Amino acid sequence: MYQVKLETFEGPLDLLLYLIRKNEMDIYNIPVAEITEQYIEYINLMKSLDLDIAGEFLVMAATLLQMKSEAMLPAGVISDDDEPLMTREELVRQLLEYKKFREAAIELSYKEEIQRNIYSRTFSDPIIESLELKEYKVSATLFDLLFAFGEILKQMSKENAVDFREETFTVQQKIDSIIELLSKHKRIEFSKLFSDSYIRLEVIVTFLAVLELVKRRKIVARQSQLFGSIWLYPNKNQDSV
Amino acid sequence: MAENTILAEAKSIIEAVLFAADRPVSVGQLAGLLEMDFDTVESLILELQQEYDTGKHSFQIQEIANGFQICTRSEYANWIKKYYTTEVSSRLTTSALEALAIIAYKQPATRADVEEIRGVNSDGVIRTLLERKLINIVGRKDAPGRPMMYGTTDDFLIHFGLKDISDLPAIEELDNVLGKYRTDNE
Repeated sequence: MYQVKLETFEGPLDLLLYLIRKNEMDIYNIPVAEITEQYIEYINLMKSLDLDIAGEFLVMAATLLQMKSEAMLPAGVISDDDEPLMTREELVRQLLEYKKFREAAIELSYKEEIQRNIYSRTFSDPIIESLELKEYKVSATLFDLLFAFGEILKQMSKENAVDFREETFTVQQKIDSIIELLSKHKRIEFSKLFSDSYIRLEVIVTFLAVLELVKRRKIVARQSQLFGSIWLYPNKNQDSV
Repeated sequence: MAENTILAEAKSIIEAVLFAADRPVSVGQLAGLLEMDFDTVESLILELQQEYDTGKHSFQIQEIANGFQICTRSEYANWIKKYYTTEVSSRLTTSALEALAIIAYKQPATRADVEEIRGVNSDGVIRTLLERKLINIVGRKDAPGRPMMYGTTDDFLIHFGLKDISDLPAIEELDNVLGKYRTDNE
């Protein structure tokens, strides 16, 4: 059993930049035929090693091949109807834009390395935490949540119920945004979660996300009084449950 | 009380608060706490910072994430690592750094913005950055599908030791680069 050491690339642009650097090509004046050949060679090598090739690599291969064949034809042969996948100028622009951020990423990793050796205190004081938790009194039950949700749906149907915008909502997306909100605000009012939604489906998906988070014990729902407004808190004791 | 005594007392209070805080404390927060003006408090912090730097201290006062924080000097990193058996914070992957760089410089940025520049799907990377609290959702773009817009967090500044967002490494302006391209082709 032998192993082949193969450079891994973040994507087609990364591979192209590598080939340009390796062959000392001028990024503003890329020899299309040459780079296409090398690019395809690399893709074939990846294939022969049974490596998974992301679809983006293949799209770029097609783009390069089209660019190459156009460059070989005399001007005017290609009709205007044949929209190219990408012009050479566009490819150069993309490469330069990507290169800029790739360099910024390297700069950031230097900074990360320096900061990794500096430690600050990260403890949290149990006395201070208990001060923050005194706002609520009663924990809200599933029925409280359902009741509150029903009220929100009732209010919605009075307003525009139809929306033709193409949108998809997933429970995972909503879970992510609720966790995100809680990391910023410490607590959120249940009804405020829906204030941004115009579409019934979105409201339902958001509610499912809340239920899922309660079930997974990631959040807790509490009321300041019985039948009062419901607030959601991150569950600080989730490890001990 | 003589003014000098008041200032010395204020400096000690600042030191105590910086020591007890588990996050960077801003000059504004300290000024509010002490009921003193911003410039005085800032100069006291800088004095304190100077004292830590010149004395035989293993601490330093670092300006980070729009505030100040007491932390250890990097020369003691190996001892602290030895004390903590687990790795405190793992380094980010190249993909994560690329996506983070794009969001940091272009914020607010959508997933599509990141993918357009990187040329690859960046769904998983963005989720990792969200989980590590290096980015957060700052709103939704007024475009089809109303995609989420992301920005960097204070944790991002802390992770990379940046004073504020303007402390990011300077990068070549795209316009200059394109300008060069145009003149080369004329």
